[in-house]
Amino acid sequence: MNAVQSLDVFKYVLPISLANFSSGKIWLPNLINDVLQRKMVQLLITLPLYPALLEVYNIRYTEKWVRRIDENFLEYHSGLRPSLNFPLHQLPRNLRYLSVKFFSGDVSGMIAESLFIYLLDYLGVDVNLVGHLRPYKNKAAFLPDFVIWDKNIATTALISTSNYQLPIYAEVKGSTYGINEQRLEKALCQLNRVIRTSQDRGLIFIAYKNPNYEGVIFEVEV
Amino acid sequence: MMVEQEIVEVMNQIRDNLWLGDIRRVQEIITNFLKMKESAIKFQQSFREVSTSFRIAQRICKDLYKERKGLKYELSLSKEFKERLRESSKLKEAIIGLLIFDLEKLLKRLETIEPLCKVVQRPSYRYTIFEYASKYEVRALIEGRVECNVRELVRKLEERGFKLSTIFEKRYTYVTAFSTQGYIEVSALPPKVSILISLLAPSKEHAQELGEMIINSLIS
Repeated sequence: MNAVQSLDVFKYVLPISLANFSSGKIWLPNLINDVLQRKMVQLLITLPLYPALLEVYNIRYTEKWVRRIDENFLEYHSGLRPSLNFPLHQLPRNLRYLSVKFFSGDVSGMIAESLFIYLLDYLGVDVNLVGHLRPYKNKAAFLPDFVIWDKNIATTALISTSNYQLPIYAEVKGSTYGINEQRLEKALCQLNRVIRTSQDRGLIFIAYKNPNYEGVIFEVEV
Repeated sequence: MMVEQEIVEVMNQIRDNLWLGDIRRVQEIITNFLKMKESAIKFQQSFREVSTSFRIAQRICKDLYKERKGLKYELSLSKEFKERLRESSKLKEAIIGLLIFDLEKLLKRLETIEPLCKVVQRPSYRYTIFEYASKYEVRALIEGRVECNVRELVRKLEERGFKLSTIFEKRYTYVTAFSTQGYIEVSALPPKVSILISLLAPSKEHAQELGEMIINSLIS
């Protein structure tokens, strides 16, 4: 089995300022339009996609247990939803058979988390020093999804400054359709809880469909 | 290595060993880590302080906004929380404290859990074998840092009459092989190796022997 395809990951060129976001100076729909129209973004990397590799990352780094994310990924990537057979007789008005199943938000979230770790690993970040905090969110809602404690992150293009301190906080969002403004807003709000000083840095990774999977990274500062 | 890095590494080792099913090793890792960390109480205290600050901030914002959601609520919550969190280092300590709490809780839970399967110890790796209705799964954790020797694996499998398809990318190896005796899928991202084996004539011993041959050739 060869790599199914590749996944382009873009980076928004300007760090998002949380101060500007909080004061309403950032209009998120414009930012999303920029990404979709390839304005203000640069291609960070093209990742070869091996679904089986996602399964390895899924086992270690995702919150929920779903086996064979590699098989799920192929269906989510192509956008083809499995449909069921249904009886021929007519249903009462306003009812319909659940013949086409919807994609699951949980699974797409796990795909995004696996892709994010794959991206970090591919860029040379030591993923053993990446902690997944999502399982603790019920207990500590102030925490983001991931903390990255590897200094090597400075050598990647993910962080644009040398004046930063560890850890780097990261939020990951997945979508089975386009980029969702609410999710980006939610991710910014989450990072806004932990990014306090000019040396703190955060990352937002969104995996979305356009029409196949793509990824975008936003760097976040105070 | 900083304590933050150590604990994150320990958490990831624990997840790998839980995947393997080696409960004893998980207990060992946690016990050793907790023995070394005399400052655990300080970190746990920081977690309590930060949690309390967050809860107070939530309470204040709940009184201000009817619904506990929406942008205004979130921005106000962050502001209140940050104001209460005077030292930036407290947050880092709180993360460590939370993870230490989790380790202690896990250790306690594991006391009552019997090992699920036998862990086979070899000089440079440990593995377990799971038997399903029509196939076997061999899960292995390799000790130390190694690079996969894909050529040797391919040679050994071809010797056994398997036809192969291979992917080798940086540290990651993915091999599928089939023959008249069965189908094999190898996925290796050190330290983890996962092998799925379907055999025409099911035999756990044969699957185990194939699994060991695959791992040995990968790390040779």
